[in-house]
Amino acid sequence: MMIQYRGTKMAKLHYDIVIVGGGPNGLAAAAYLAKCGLSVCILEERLEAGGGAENTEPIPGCRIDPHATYLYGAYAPGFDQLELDKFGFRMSHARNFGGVVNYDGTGTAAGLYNIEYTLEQIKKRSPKTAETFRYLYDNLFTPKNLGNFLRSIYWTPPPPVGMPMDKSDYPWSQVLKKLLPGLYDDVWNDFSGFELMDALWDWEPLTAALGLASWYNGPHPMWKGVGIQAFACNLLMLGSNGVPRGGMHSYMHALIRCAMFHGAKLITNCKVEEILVEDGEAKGVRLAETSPLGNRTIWADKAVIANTHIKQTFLDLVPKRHLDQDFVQKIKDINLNGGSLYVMHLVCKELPKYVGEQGEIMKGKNYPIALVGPCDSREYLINQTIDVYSHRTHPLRKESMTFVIGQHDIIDPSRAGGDLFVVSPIYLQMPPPEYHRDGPNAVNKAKDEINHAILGAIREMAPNMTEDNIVHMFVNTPEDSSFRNLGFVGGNWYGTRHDRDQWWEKRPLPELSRYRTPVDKLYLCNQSSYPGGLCLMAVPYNLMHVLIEDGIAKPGEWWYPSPWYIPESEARYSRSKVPA
Amino acid sequence: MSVWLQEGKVYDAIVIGAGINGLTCAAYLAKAGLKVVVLESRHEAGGALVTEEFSGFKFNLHATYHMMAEYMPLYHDFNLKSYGLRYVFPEVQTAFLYKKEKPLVFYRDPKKTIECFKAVLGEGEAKKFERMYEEFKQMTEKVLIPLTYVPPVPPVDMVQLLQDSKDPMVRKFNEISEMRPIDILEEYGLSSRAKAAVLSLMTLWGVSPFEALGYLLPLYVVRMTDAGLCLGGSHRLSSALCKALIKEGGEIYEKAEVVKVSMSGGRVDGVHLEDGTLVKGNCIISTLDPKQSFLDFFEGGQIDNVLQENAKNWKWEERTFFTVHLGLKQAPEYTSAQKNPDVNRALSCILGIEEIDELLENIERIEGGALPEKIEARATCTTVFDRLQGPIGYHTGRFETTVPFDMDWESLKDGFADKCLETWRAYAPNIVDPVHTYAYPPTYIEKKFKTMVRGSFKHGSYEPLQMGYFRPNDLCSQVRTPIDGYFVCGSSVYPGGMILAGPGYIGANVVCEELGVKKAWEEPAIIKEARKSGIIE
Repeated sequence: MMIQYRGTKMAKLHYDIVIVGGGPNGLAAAAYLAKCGLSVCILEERLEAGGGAENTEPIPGCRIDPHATYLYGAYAPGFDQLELDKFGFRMSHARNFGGVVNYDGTGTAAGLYNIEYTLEQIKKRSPKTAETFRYLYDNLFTPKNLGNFLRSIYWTPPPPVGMPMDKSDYPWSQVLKKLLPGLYDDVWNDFSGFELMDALWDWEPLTAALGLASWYNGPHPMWKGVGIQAFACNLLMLGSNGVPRGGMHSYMHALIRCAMFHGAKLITNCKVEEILVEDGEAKGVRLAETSPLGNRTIWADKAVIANTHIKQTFLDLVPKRHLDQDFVQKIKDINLNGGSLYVMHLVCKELPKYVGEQGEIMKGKNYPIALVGPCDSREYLINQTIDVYSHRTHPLRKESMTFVIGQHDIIDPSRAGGDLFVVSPIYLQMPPPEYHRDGPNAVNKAKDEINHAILGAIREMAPNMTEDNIVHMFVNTPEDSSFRNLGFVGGNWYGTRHDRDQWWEKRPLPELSRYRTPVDKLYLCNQSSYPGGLCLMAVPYNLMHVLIEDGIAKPGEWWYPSPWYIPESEARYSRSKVPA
Repeated sequence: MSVWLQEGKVYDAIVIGAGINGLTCAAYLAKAGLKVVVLESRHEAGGALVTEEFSGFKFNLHATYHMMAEYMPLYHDFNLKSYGLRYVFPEVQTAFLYKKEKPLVFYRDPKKTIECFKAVLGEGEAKKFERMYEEFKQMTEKVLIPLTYVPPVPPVDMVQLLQDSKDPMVRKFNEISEMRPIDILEEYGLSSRAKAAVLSLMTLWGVSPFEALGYLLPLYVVRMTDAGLCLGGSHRLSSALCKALIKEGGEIYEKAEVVKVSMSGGRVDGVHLEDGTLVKGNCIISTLDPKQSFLDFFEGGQIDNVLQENAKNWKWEERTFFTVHLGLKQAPEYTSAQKNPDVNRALSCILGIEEIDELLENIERIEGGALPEKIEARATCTTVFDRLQGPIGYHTGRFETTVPFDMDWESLKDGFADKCLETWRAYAPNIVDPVHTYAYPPTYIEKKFKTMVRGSFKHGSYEPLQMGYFRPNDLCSQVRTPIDGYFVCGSSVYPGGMILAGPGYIGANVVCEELGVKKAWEEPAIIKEARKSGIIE
């Protein structure tokens, strides 16, 4: 079948922009650039675009999100700029987004948009925490202020490469200083998540729950220097307050349709073999023999955008001869450890009924869609951290069992058919396959044991989660994820580790933080760039600033840049405060 | 937060259901310049064109390969290749395996098939098959394919048209078209084994050999030995169609389940969705089954009794599918390959029974509601032809057999799947320790698709009173219905299911004519030919 393409003379395939990879960031970049009037071609290796934002039916009529599941990016300018609602995007909102559950029944439900109820619950347990929360709610959590705060972190490109920046100059520092005068201190920028939360309140379950959630969203609550981000990534989730109706993939459908409406071309099943470089400039891509077009070349007149993982981009796609050896070594050294998740999805006859008072609270509409537990103490989380990072193994002991439990069925009954409920996802942190002390296959081999440990702990909190109640179980290990989603290198859901050494002006490497690369006209647009994963449409939004600056994209009236964006022309390299 | 379905917008056409026919119809209507929206109740468009991934294995849970691939007008009209759709046509199409003797192999090239017949069944059988195939091929190309893409005419008129033809093959087609398939094979004088093999090409798709549906036999024999496999899985086809639809300005919404059709002044004017939204439209095209299209969507008094009675009496298929999807470490290596190595490169292998009597007994048994004693199945390994359908170094297998619906499948499925594997292993000993097994009983079909009641994957039984001009009934088989502004063009409408894209194509043509809109496409050459020869008026 391939032969007919060889030797046949076909017109050269030219596009302004060629995007390698059709994940959430690649698709949003395509939509943005096509809306600017550029001709755009997206090449996706898998059979369906959307990357980690996908949906499947493990058994007919029951729909799950194998990876991305909650909407984090409600404050993304993309919703507005790309008008995704016109392309079928809808939300299902929760009354109580989150909650905590414990073995002793002391858990509760909470929601940012159900604040009086939430404060009442917290007040019963810790008046001081309720007081802080009220203050934060009035000053930080209002939609406008929260939007500002989150956009200052996620929807703002890092400063020009090499430009020094003081803690007080960080965009979020400026915002927090204004919104929380008297409370905010620049030293927060050095804090870990736990340190920040301990400075703010004293209700342990809240700290433990938000700590765990932040780890599962990227930054671990014990990593120094990303405390504000650890706090903020939970606000992304709480502020968005729901899931895309129809499942996460419907969000991608809207993006695909938007991109195509503006003229972009999406080719799936289309593996790219090489990014072509001539005279230090990206010229296009060569497709694999197995692609629908055979091993043809697709030329990019203006830019090639890599929606591939940073390691794939520079270790597989750009030929080594075009790159500096030291640079290649730095790419190899990028740390993936942090963000490899084990996820379990259950189809059940009834929802978990939690023991004690928490079971009474979580009924009907009050049932939250994202629970964390057990979390009466952060000990569980610390034990799990020790298992994963120190012992480099999968958590099995009861003392390290704490996880996120999702139940979207409450707000989207169409997830399961008939009288069934989908209890999904249940996350547990794992070491990435190649970091595991017993080899990359270890987690896959231990599936049964891990499932037993997870279900054992859940059953203690919700005794009705018996085998009889569970109709079907679907499990994704980090290794499965890297199999399934080609961009999940090392099974990492967020590209690379979200610690301070790979964050902001250092993500993925200091010289790559503005999405430009050592190869001219080759730009980065993957979650391994700033600000990482979570399907925020943030990488492409930030990249747009750079493409506009480089004269490639010329958006219309609909575009607005980040107010904290510093153009190259305004970069200040010599500052008095630079140490001698 | 969101403006769902652009409130206040009135569409020219609302298409219910985003299966192959809904998408085809909508894409053509959009191409003709109409404002079109497709509403789908599931979370993904494509209907039976569903490819799902399990740990890297791509399972085509329903349609796998397509009998009309390059003949579907939409393939060319929308240049689907440019959206990444690509078909492969395996050289070795179907191998009929025997426990002891040489396998009987159907190739894409009929000359090779005839050679094989000669080697396996002798010179005489080969001659008979050659004559039959040659005639079937002419019938398929001259009559069956063109008629798949034009509205049906009443049987009396059809018979007249065929009888009046100057072409003797067309007249012969007329003679066999109301015979029982089993009798046609008798007429060509084929031996028991040849009959079993040829008939399996049709009966394994749930078509009965005892119904007077003789005209389907040439179609299945010719097209099922020339089937195309969609690279990357059959969902690629619907994906490409969706892109074409959007390119033409159409809209599509998932998780938008229609519950009622809204009417005013005796005419349809929109649909109500399950979440309460009212979508306004000037005409409505349903691609669902008659029960949903005519009973569920309307109040009793809104439509006439004949239609209601008809929908109530709609018959679902007697035989449905049980499929086992497998992740394998090796592609199947058949013992038969020692006698003919081509078997390992066959798109599908039919195995389990050998003689015609066994086949007929089996069918009668299943239609009577019992599990088959001997499992007759079609085994496929897509990764042999398409590396994209499984992880590197692994293979994706599919073992499909016909079964009755009324069984306690939830408790039976695992045991039956084991039995299936045992059967497969008897022919391919290396089918051991699959890395992934997914038993897919008929009850799952119904759960997944509301239109496939009782696992009826063709949206209703193929029997004379539900076929041709009578599918779904003589009032609606030509797409228009007695309800003003309401059209039907799903698999329950002429010419039926099986990924032909016939109903959708015809639907778009009829709706354009009804609305007086200029069609933005040309009729395929094969239909023009048929018009010239007088088969189509």
